[in-house]
Amino acid sequence: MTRPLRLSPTIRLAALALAAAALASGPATAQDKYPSQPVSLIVPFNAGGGTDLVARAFAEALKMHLGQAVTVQNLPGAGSAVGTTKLHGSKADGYTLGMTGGFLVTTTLRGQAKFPATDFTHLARLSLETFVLAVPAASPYRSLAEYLDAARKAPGSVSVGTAGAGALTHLAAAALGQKSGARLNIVHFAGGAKEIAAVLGGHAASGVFSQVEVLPHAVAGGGLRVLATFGEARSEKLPEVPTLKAQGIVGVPPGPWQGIAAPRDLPAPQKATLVTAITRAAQEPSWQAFLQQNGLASHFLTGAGVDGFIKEETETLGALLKSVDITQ
Amino acid sequence: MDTLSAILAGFAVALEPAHILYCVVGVVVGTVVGVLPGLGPAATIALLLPVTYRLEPVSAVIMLAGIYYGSQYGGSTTSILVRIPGESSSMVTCYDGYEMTRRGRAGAALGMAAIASFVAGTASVIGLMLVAPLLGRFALAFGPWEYASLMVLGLTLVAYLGGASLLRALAMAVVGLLLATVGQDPVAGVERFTFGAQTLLDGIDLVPVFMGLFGIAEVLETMERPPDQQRLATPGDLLPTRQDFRDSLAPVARGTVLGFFLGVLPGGGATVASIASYVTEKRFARNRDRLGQGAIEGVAGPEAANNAAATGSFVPLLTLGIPANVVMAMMLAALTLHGIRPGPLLISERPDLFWGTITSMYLGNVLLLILNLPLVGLFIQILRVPYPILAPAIVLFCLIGAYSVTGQVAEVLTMVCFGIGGYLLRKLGFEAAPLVLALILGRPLEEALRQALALSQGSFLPFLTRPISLVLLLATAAALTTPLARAALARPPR
Repeated sequence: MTRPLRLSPTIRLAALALAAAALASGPATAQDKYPSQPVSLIVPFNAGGGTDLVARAFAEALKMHLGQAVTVQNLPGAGSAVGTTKLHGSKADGYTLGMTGGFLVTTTLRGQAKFPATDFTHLARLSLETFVLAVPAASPYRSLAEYLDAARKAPGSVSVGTAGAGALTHLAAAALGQKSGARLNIVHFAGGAKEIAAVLGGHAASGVFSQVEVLPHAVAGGGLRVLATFGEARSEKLPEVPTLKAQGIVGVPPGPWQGIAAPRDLPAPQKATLVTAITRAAQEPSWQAFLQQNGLASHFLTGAGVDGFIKEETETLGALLKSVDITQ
Repeated sequence: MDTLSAILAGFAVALEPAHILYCVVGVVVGTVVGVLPGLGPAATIALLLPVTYRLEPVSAVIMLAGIYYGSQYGGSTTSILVRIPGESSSMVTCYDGYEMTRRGRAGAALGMAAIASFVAGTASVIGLMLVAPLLGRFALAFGPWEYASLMVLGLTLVAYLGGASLLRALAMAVVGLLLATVGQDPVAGVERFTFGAQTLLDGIDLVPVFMGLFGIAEVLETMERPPDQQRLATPGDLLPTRQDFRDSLAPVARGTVLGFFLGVLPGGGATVASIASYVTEKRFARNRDRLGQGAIEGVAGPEAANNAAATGSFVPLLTLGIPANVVMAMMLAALTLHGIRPGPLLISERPDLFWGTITSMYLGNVLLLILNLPLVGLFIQILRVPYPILAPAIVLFCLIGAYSVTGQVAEVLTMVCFGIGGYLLRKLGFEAAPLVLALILGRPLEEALRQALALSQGSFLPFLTRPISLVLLLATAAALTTPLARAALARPPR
């Protein structure tokens, strides 16, 4: 019988360290020619969510211009805090990227992730969607004005659904009430699917949704009527619906957005390569078709534009979060 | 296009060679996933979803659907053989299924589980075809008030799950409800009992809890027995007897109807359906006194119910575009990436997809029966494996299963904690099933109750004025008072 190999803890540690160094040296030796191996893209949600779909569609376009595979890695948990924290702690070598969005700003503001949203190398904003305010087709409210009047006359009588406490739709619904001077009865549902079922069934008087969620129902004979879109300009998918802005209401989060970021202090050469590839990928017809199909607008931003956007978003959403009394 | 020609066109789609292939792949993967404890359809579909993005949408949906309803077939296998449920929806199958194994009737139990699944699966596909659009509207009639009342009714089921002691069952249900409060508060967003841990923010995941309480605790308990008593019963005959079929007829019919309707409602799902079916049999079956002592009804009913529920949960997705559970949400994603957004118009806009998917389920159910019946003979051989070899394998599968939920070690730790906890509870004579049921129902109950009160601005009145809610609450009252009354009457006068 052979004696089992016994190693002292120190030797084991040393061996581990060696192994780790061997693994880690991969990217380091390849520094002269970035990228020399697949790039992973962290999605802090389960496969199948909105952010996951955007990430996978964009990864396809990005790999053509990066010359390397872009593998989507789903790291769900704690809202988005698990995946976001992982990205934050990853090595800034250009081989780990992550998806960003309104969720990044809210989780960091609420302290579920322990760093500010600006603490990344933000590479681009890829897509922007508009929120919509929808009521059941049988609702007495035919326009936003009628809807808000009813809410002003009997404060708290008009209910508005959100996709969850602290979600971006919650902040949008709260801001809609604040900026229009109508006290709305905000009711939280566990996700957009349950919210839309409650509004379709007439249990909630209205709901704030991402546009893509209501499109199948906002047709002639469908179950929902859209009273307003939250974006800057009228939506291409719902051209007959007026914007909030056109009705004199400003300062409401316009909708969910998706972006791409690397850990902070990404070296300049890697950043330049990535920004060039991302900018080109954003012009890819397949990506443009994906945006079109899902009613997303590109509103592509990069460089200082995206940094400014994140900063602005942090301030607006921070003020809103304080005002809606969500724990921070 | 009338329904008949639509169905024929659907078969034409489902019987295309490529679609048959994806159907086969789906049901085979589903069977495997169902058999392995811990690894569930949700985790598997999450893993396979990226692959389906490259398939054409009909193939993708046929395959994913196959995994989902296929997993309901396999879930009972380990429940029956080693008293460890493969899926939470086969939890109650442990009671009578394992008793049957101990009496040398494992083959009959496994065979009946497959046949009941097939009958319920096929019958509910017919239901899906005929009444799907109608049922979509039925699901929408359920608002927060109705859901809250339904969950309350569901909670009364624990009174029948606790074995001998009602008090112990209620105690476990309270523990389950308390565990369900862990995580982010659904209204104010306050973190409750998370102790700052990121993993607890989403609440305690059901899968590791359930793997620990059933899988690990069962292994620990068996291990403490002397080796000669660890031997499992020798496998007996392979197929159910004629008497078994006669006894199973009514439970399968009841389980199918119950399961299908509970499946249509978001949040109900296969687990609650199987428990509801088991309790129904325990109360209303002709041979109700036999339940818990290896009665075939206790296998046939729940196994029919969980399959019917799996099929029923397609209704809201296909008719309204609203996913009833996490698996349906992933199915929705697979379609969305192909630019298809299911909604009320899906039937008219994409009849190939709607009818193709549904008709593929007939094919899938037949394949599953053909696949599962011969497997009975194979699975039964597990009983010949000496327990000292089987036990570590079970633990390993549980560990992998818990890890596969989110890929976090925290889930494994949760499972180990609940495994040890579950072992201690068993030693003290507590049943784990009421805890699991309360943990499943706790969160949706709280959400629905708080939504309902927010919508009615604090008034409880709508619970009594809305007809569906009222009926559910009356049923709750009846379910609660009868066992108490019976207990009071049975007590000898002093």
